[in-house]
Amino acid sequence: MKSKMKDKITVTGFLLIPVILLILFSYYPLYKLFQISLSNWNGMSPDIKIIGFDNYKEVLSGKEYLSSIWNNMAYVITAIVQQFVGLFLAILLDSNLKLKKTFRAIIFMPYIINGVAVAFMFNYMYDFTNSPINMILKVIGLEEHVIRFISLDYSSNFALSFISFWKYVGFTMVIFLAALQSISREVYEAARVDGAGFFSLIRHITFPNIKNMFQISILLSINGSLQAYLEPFVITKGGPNGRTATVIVKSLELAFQYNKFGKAAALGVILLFIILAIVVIQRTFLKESDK
Amino acid sequence: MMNMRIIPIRKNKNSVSSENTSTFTISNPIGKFFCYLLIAFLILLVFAPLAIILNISLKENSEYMAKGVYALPENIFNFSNFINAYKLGGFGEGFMNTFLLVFFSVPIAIVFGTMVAYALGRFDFKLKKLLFAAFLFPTFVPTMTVTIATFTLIKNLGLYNSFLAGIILYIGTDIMQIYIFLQFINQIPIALDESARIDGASRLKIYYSIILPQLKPAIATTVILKLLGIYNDFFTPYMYMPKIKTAATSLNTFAGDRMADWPLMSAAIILIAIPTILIYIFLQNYIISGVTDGAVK
Repeated sequence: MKSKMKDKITVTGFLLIPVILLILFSYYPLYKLFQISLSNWNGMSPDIKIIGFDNYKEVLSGKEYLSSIWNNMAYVITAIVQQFVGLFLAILLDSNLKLKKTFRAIIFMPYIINGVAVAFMFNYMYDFTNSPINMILKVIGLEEHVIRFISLDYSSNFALSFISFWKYVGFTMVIFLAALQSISREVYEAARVDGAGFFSLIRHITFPNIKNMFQISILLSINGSLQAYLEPFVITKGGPNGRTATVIVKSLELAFQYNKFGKAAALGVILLFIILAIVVIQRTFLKESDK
Repeated sequence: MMNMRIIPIRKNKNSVSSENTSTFTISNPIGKFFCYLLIAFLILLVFAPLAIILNISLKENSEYMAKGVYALPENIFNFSNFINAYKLGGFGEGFMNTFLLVFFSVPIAIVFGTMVAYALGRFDFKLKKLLFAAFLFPTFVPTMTVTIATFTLIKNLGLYNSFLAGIILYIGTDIMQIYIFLQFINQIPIALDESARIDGASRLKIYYSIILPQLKPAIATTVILKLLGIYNDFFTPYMYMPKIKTAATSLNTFAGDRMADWPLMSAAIILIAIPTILIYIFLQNYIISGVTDGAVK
């Protein structure tokens, strides 16, 4: 048999099953999602009847759906803050401080702890009567200032998004550390010889060199924050009165509690487009700044 | 027949943990002091919740009610909460099922991932670019947004509430893995493949006797990350196989009424958190460099 033929057989054989799985579990659901979003399917009837864009109209004009997007913004803001804290920590722990490797390892640790365990842990921290934080406030005489972490206020969303900050800030730091360490030491040395101070080094060497990584990191974090689900699911179930329901919480509630799969899918598609739009904007921005 | 020497591959030189030099120098002693202070605060932020949880997990509920959060436990060897949590949560079953999911899906994922990387890294063919893009695109499609459709698919395939649902969803090849493997494959000299071919080795043989052994470090990293991912994943089992309790979903059985028993709850949290913390203590270098390699590429 010719070598070319053998190559072909090998490539086909090696790629066949992974590609089938890819199509079946990555691409087909995408098609299915669009199809369901255009229907009033209840999740059970055998055929899916297309009704057009009604679901989108209802979702985009319904206050409860828009408020879930609004609730989700708290997570996005937290994700952006997380970038700056992560970068700051990376710079701090790429300096001459002692024990910095141990510090890095500790700050990264929450990343590997089970998310449900973390959410339960914070559920205790946020419990109004039992909160260890409020206990301290009471002891030091700030009884009137005890915190109602989960309330009717919008701040509840920040309390919940802080949990993912706690879990992922070390991850962001580690990504930036990798970026910082890929910059050659000589560049810094040369600048130092020229008399550049700390802030000048950061501005003229560090920032331009980690720009791409910054884009990747912020994309990963925003992507994750828009899909926030576990914290509200475990701690508030989206309550009180939908005030902490994120888009995913709302979507799953629509599907599995009210059998409105069509509307749930439409909400999914809208979120998908928001995320894809962010990706596209970033990519073009990234390309432009490279020129 | 193949007595060729395998050239060892250096570990990725950018990995965070292997670096020991510093980029920045803080010389001002006051500045340095505040830096340490800030880091101390952050370390406290990481450890305080864990320490509080550990502290109350060793107390009887009555003891907790009487003495509060911060009093040290009367008997630090009081593991009754752990025993009760283990039984009530059905953690034995949960750990076993998680183990089975890992046992079946991780090896398959590794085989598929390395095969795809081998095909894309060593052969030229027409649709190569398209395939690359095809594997890349799903990374931009957030999995949670497609849940409704994936759920429908799993139901229609008759996989709902079966082990196979979890296994199939976990073996999916993602581009991060492919990139990590490709990086290593590109470092293996093609001359090795060619001389093996002249010796009459088939492509399959080259894959498992030349390529796979060289991928060992990448495979080790992927195994650890996959294992952590599956162990920590709550959503997949909760959504697609709710009747099969895993480590994460068995912890969730404590939601609701039992939440009033905080010591018991804390013990349950620790039981689920401990295994990955132990893995992290021993394998942190692999984990940190794996996580960064995946994100950077």
